[in-house]
Order: sequence, then C-alpha cells, then structure tokens
Amino acid sequence: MIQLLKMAFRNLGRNRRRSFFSALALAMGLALLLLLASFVEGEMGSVIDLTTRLESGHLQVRAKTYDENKTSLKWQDLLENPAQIAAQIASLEPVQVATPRLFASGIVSVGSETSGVRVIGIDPLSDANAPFRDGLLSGEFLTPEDREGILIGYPLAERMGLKAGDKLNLSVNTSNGDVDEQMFIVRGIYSTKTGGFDRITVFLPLAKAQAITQTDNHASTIFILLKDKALTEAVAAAIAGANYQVLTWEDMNELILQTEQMANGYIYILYLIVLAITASVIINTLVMAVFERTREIGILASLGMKGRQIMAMFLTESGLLAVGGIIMGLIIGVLVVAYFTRYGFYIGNMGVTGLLISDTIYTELTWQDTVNLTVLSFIITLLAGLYPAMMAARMDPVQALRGGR
Amino acid sequence: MEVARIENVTRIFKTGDVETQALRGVNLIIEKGEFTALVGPSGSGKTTLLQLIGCLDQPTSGRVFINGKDVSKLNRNQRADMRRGTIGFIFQFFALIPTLTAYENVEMPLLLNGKSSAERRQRVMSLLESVGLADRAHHRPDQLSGGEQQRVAIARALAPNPTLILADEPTANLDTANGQQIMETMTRLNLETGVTFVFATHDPRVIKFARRVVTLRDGMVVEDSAGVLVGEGG
Amino acid sequence: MRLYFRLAWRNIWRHTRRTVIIILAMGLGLALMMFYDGLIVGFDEAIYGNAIRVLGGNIQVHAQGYRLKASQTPLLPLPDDQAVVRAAQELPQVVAATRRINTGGLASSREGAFAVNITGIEPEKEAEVNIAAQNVVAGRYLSGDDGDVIFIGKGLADAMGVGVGDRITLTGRSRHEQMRKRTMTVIGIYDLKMPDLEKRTIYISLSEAQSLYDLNGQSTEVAIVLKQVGQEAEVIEALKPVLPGYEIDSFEANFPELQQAIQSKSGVMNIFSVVILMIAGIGILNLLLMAVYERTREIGILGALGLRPRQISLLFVLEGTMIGLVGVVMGIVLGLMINGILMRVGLDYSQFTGVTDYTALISGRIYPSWGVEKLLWRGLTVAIISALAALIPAHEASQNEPAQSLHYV
Repeated sequence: MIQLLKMAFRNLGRNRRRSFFSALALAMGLALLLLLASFVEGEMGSVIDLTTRLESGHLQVRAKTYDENKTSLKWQDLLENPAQIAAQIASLEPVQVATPRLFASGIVSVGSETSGVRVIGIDPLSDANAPFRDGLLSGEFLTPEDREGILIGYPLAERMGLKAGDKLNLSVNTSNGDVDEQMFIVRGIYSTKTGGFDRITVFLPLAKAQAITQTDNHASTIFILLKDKALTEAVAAAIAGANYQVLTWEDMNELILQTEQMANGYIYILYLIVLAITASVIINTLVMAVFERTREIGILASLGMKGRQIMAMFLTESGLLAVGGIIMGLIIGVLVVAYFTRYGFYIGNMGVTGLLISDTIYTELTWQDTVNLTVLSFIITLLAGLYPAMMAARMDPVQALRGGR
Repeated sequence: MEVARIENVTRIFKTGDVETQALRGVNLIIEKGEFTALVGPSGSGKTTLLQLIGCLDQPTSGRVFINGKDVSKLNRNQRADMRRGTIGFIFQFFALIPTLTAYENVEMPLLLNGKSSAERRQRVMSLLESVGLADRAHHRPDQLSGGEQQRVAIARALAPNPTLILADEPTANLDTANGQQIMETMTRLNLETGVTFVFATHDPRVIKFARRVVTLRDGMVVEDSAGVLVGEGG
Repeated sequence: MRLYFRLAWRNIWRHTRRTVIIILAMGLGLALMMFYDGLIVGFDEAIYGNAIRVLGGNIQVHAQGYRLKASQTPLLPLPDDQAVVRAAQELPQVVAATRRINTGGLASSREGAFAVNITGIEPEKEAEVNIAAQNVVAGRYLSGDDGDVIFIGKGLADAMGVGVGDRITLTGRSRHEQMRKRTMTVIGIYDLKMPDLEKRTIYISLSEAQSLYDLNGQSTEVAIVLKQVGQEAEVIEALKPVLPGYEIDSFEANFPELQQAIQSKSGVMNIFSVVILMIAGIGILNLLLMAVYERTREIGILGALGLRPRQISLLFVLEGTMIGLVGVVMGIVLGLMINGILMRVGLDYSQFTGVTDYTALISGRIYPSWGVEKLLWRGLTVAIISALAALIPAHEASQNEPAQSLHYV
C-alpha cells in the first residue's frame, strides 16, 4: 500500500503542472460549491433567525380558535389577561422572555395616499423588542403610557415622506368587525434591514392598541424566546394547556422549512453538474497519462503486475489528486466564504414579503456541508478515475510494449 | 555564386553541467547548383552543421551567410522568415504534417508565401507529378509508404522555389530500392531546376550520388573532395 | 489563415475521446446557463403574462406625480381621462382603453381584516378584457349601475369566510382626506388560481368608486389593452406627443423589485458560470499541454517550414478556441433538449407563490423558454475562456527551438 502511494505520488510528480491544474480544477469546483452551500445556508439561516426574532419567536401561545391568516380580534379568539399568562411563562427557567402581542390590520394614510399595514401592539418595556429598539434610526422608542405615538419602519416612512414627529392617520379593524380611525404621531422610525417586514409593520403600545381595537385586556399571542432553541419541545410540553394552543417556531415557519428543503434539492443537482464538469477534466488528465505511459504499463504487465494492481495504481493516483485538489479547494473555499461571512453579500430589496430576508446575506459554512461536499468531491473524483484505470488494466502487454493502442 | 558560406563556426551544447562541442571551427562554402554530401560518423557534427546552414540554430561563434546575408545573429522571427521560401528541408523521418493530405502538405509552403490559389494548384500538381505521386495527391501521410512520404517531403521542400535544400539522412529509414529512388529523384531535380542540395549521410550507397563530398570528424572538416577549403581558396 | 483553421480543426479530432470529454464538460456548463436563462424568461413570462391580464392592460396612463407614489396608489385624478381614452383608441394596436380608480383600503368583517387594493372599473367596457370578469365562480360580475356591491377573489372570500350575499366593510380615504367607510354586499367571486393575489385585489364599479372617493366623473388611471405583448414601446411613443403631462408606463414598471431581483440573481449566476467555464477551461489547458508535448516534432517541422513562433502560438490558441466553440454547439444541443422537455412539462412553483408580491402572479407552473436569449454572450464567454486557457500551451509551443524539437522522437 505504501509502495502504491509512493508510486502514484511520483507518477503525479512527473508532470507536475498537469497534475497541479487538474487538482486546481477540482479545487475551484469544490470552492464554488462551498460558497454556494454557505450562501444558501446563510440565506436560509438568516431567514429562520430573522423570522424567529422578529415574528414567530421560539414559541407562541394563542387562543384555541385564533387563526393567524385572519388576524381576528373577536374576544373569543384572543387571550384574556395576557400579562399574567406571560409572567407565568416567563418564570420558567429556560424562557428568556415572554411578552403579549396584539395583531391587527390597518391602513396608514397621509393625504390621499394609503398603505396597508400590520399593526402590532407590544409591551414597550419587553426585551423581546430589542430588534426594533436597537434598529431605531430616528426619534424615540415607544413607552407604555404613550397614547398617540406610533413606531413605523423606514421603508414606509420613506415612501410616505414621514419623519419623526409627523402625523399620520391609522385605520384599524376592531373586535366588533368595524374599522376605527385615529391620528398618531410618528414617535420613531426603525429598521431591521428586512424590507419585507419593515414596510408593512407598525407598532403601538399594547394598551393603546387594545383601546383602539376595543379588545380590552386581551392579546393575540404570547411571544416567547428561549435561552436555547433546542428546548423548544420541552417548554412547549410544559406550558401546554386546555384553553390555548402552543405553536413552535417549526409549526409557524413551515413555508420556510419547505422552501429550504426544496432549495436543497435543486442545489444538489447543481452540485452534481459542477462536479461532473470537474470530473471530466480529471478523467481527461488520467486518460492522457494512461496513453503516455502505454509502454510503461506494458513493462509493468510483463513484469507480472496484474490488471487489478495496475488499476489500483491509477486509482491511487486519482485518489491523491483528489486529496490535493480537496485541500486546495478547502483553503480557497474557506477563504472566500470567510470574506463573505464577514462583509456579506448585498442583494438589495428583492421585494420579498412572504419570507423575511435581510438586504445583505452573510455566508455561513456548516461542518455538515463541508464534510458532505468534501466526501462528494472525493467520491466523484474516484469514480472519474475508474474509467482510465480500467483502460490501463485492460491493455494487452504485447501491444502496450509496442506503444500501440 | 555562393549560396552558403560558413566562417569559423563553433557550436557548443550545454546539457546541465556537461558541455558538448559539436562543431570546432568549420569553414565551408556551398556554391549554387551543388549536390553535396556531408559525411562522417554519428556525432561528427553533420546534423548540427545542416541546422546552422538551415537557420534552425545559431552558432556559438563564427558566422553563417546565406545568399550573402549574415544569418548568425538573426532573432527567431527573422530566422523563420529566412527559412520560409529560401530553404527547404528533408528529414530522416518522413516529416509530413499528419493531418494534411499529400497535396496540402506540398501546398503549405506556398500558402505561407502567399501564392494565389491558381498558382498553388498548378505548382503542387506539377511537383507531385515530378516525384511521381500525382495519383496519390489526396492521401493522408498514414496512407502512403515511407518512400512515397519522403517523395512528398521532397516536393514540399521544392515548392517555394528555394535556393537551397537541406536533407538530413533522407534515406536512413528506407529500404535500398526506395533509397535509390529517392536519390535518383533528388539528382534529377538538382539537374532540372538547378537548386542546390546538401545532404548529410553515412550510407556509401548515397554518397556515390554526390558530386562533392565533405567529411566531418569530431566537429571539424577533415576532407573536402572539391579540394577547396575556406581561407585557402578564398 | 485558412491553413491555420484547417490545421487547428483537424488537430482537434486527432484524439477524439479526449476532445469529446472536454466538449461534454463545456457543453454541460453552457447547457446549465441556457437552462438558467430559459428559466428566467419563463419566470418573467409567467409573471408578466398574468400581470397584463390582472393589471387590466399592457399600458397604464396616470396623472403627473403618480409614478413616484405608485405603491401608495394616490388618488390623483387624470386632467382629462376621456381625451386619453380617445387618443388611445385611435391607435390600431389598441384593443381597449378603460378608465379606472385605484386606491388602497381595508376590507373587514367580523372574522378579520385585510389590506386590499380597491379598483373601480367600467364593468361593461372591461367585460371582454378583464381576466377576473371571465373567471367568475359564484354570483355574477359587476354591471354599470350596481351600487354598494363588490366583486372579490376566491382567495379573499376564503380567508374572510364570506360568500355571495355576505357583507364586507370597505374602508378607504377619499380625495379630500376623509375616511370613507361603506358596508357592501359581495355580488360575485372570481377565481384566478392565484390566492395570494386574489386576497389583495377587489373590484367595484367606477361610478361607485367616484362617489365613494369624491372623484365625481373622474378617474385616476386609464388602462390600455394591446393586441399583443411587445407593442408597448411603440404605443407609448405614439401616445407621448398626444398626451403631454401624463405619465405613460408599460406593465413592467409595476414591478421594479422583480427587475432588481432578476438582475441581482443574474449577477451571481454570471460569476458562477465564469467559474464553471474556467474549470472546463482547465480541461482545455491540460489537453493542449499534452498536445504540445506529443507534437513536439511536428512543431519543429512547422518551424522549419518558416512559421514564426507567434504563428505557431496562434495555431494552438485557435485549436483551444475551436474546442470551446464545438463545446458551445454541444451545449446548445444539450440546452435545447433540456429546455425543450421542460417547456412541455413545466416546473412546479406553486409552493413559492406567496414569497413575493410578484410571484403571487404565477399560477402554478413555470415554463422556461429555449434559453437562447443570451446565447451570443454566453458563447463569447466560452470562446474567450477557451482562448485564454490555450495561452499557456501556445506560449510553450512557440518556445520550442525547432533544432531541438526535430531531434525529438
């Protein structure tokens, strides 16, 4: 075995440049795939992360009959005395924060211009609102007692030409199916760098939101963040009750998870195509090496080397080539990915509203992707080596010695 | 009229740390219309001398004149231009371009010299006819015998109307009959067209065709049947 | 030059197997790009094709100042909408020109509330060109003298749990900044198989909209339907001089984000494709390095025949480029095959329609085009990369001294 490796190594060294370029082809292929995988992972990871932080949390507690698609405000669809429920949940050890939220639909209007929005009533003091508080661009954050302040997103402010301190009209639906309109003052403008969310989401203090929607002491949901995402199921089981439903982030983000699965399926086809191209470059190199060494193979065969051993020799060569290419590819790939992990990949606003996608994607290379792609490249390179190796093994020694084909 | 003049030419090859002195001060004049053999054992410098005359190589010292022009200091492009049209080559192996037919091989130097298509067609066919291969014009080299290939090579060497044709062991890879035929063809063409032939050989059956025999040994001219040595006869 | 082409072309085929492998690699790379290009066009068509029908026209005419605020659908009345309609109807390409009022509002019932686009239409004039009018699944389409009735999509009806005859509260803003709230009866439901889009689009009659939003006798938009897609530019050009001071846009202007998304994705794809082609380029490089080595003596002969070093280089660059171009041909064949199949089968996209406003217009499947839209550029890229890959071997070949090469056996 050592002998075989030594021979293969020397053989590759005989035409160093050619071996280098073949390994480089593999390296470029692998690096490209690593970048691709880390991009998808980064995109999807950020979608899930963003959705969790901004919208779904790790867990939500809702009334049994609450239907998310309707944003109903009927009392029987809401949680009564939500602050108390939230406090109870927050007292559990794994829970980082639990806070009530109230959802309503509305339209913001200034002059004759209108824009549909989603109104969220929040407890301004809760830590769960950190993304909005930290993303404050101008003005101030809401306070619990604020009766006329509203927090709006940057894209909405820009579209409607609103600054902090400006007035706007907000119409929202109420618990009795009616619509109420009131004037608000833009208290602050926030940005989460997630156009799809910021454009349509406005915030009111919970008490004010309850007042305008006539929902009294009710909330649509308890938004819960955990200290550790892995404990989701355990906590869900702990707080399950007969009077309400408990939803995990997986329940709420089914679309995202499906999209991710689908994307992974498509991307695997892409991986295989890239590797097929890489493989053909390697096949060619080895086929040429076999031709070049026809005479030598004849000598080896006449010295009593079996076809299988000759095959093993060439396969070892492709194995070594694969190892070299993979090492190079990992270095290149990790460096390129590291750059984009640090500085991100600006994609701008693609008008995505169904998913929460940030305007910049930071690549994220997981161990799983790295190992998978490395193994995949190795296997495909070995498979590519099979054909030339078989060609070499099948050579007739007499013909081969003459240098014929 | 002088076709080639070699003055005090030396040529040293370096392979790693080893220096080989292929030519050690050669003087030689080739006149127009000569049919001259360079003879000597292998390693005597025949091929090196031919390559210097053919502008394929440059001397380490000394000078080479072709048609009165000093070619020893020319750069690679200038040498290529010099070869194209002025010098024809015939090699020991049958040096045809394998992807081109006999016709196309002979046509190639004409194309490189920018001859018109009518002119090319006429010249190629007359050349192939004169080497007796008109009927094999559209065969590829691998469909021709060794003798036929070498005759195509002669036709190709003649195609651009060169002043000088250099042949390096033209019959070495041929059997006696074919070798004989090649030498007869070359002799006939020398007489018909007046083009100068210089060939390197160590085959006595070939030497007998030569009208002048220059003998080389260890990189020096030791005998010249013309009896004229450069520097003595001027 | 013909000599060089002849030599290069025949050299390619001296070792068919090698060449074919590289050609396959190049072809695969190019086919992948054609697939992508085809998909983008299919994506575009799937969206735009429906967009025209859903938006009610290939071209929209608005009053000055509308464009900047388009996403807030301001109630900016056209100075003279009848003149716009007349001007449009004089053009031979125009099938219909209808007046509309567009505004944002809130549709609410006891069950919940949705932000919607309210569109006031001239029911009789749009009957033939409005896709919703042709896909009524319950109740009936609007008529001119309807009052207090509303025509909604199945998506919204399902979400709100309403049917024909049920009542919905419609809230909007009038021209004079007053809130207008009106409870209306659902008269009909249309189904475009695009639930996400249907949730956002509801129709009322123009006269109703005029009275609701204080636009007596006025409208905010004229929608123009053309005989076929692609005539937009010429019609816009023809209308511009007749209608100074109006904003005339083709349907594409309604989706600025779609263009950005496609551009941004194409940029990524371009980088990606260049890397893939470079990998295949390495194949050409290796192949030619081998060829230079194998043909050492032949290169010597060419030198002896008087080819300059440059000319010998050129021979190899040509050879590399030709391999690339044969790869292009292979790629085209592969690409046409793939796209040809997908054109018949289509790709399921129904899962993603909710992701963006514009994908909501995709009704289920995407059918790619042949993918030849950018073929010239793609082919050129292949040729350039192949030529560049050939540079190293070509340089090497030209460095051979003929005197030494000829010794080489």
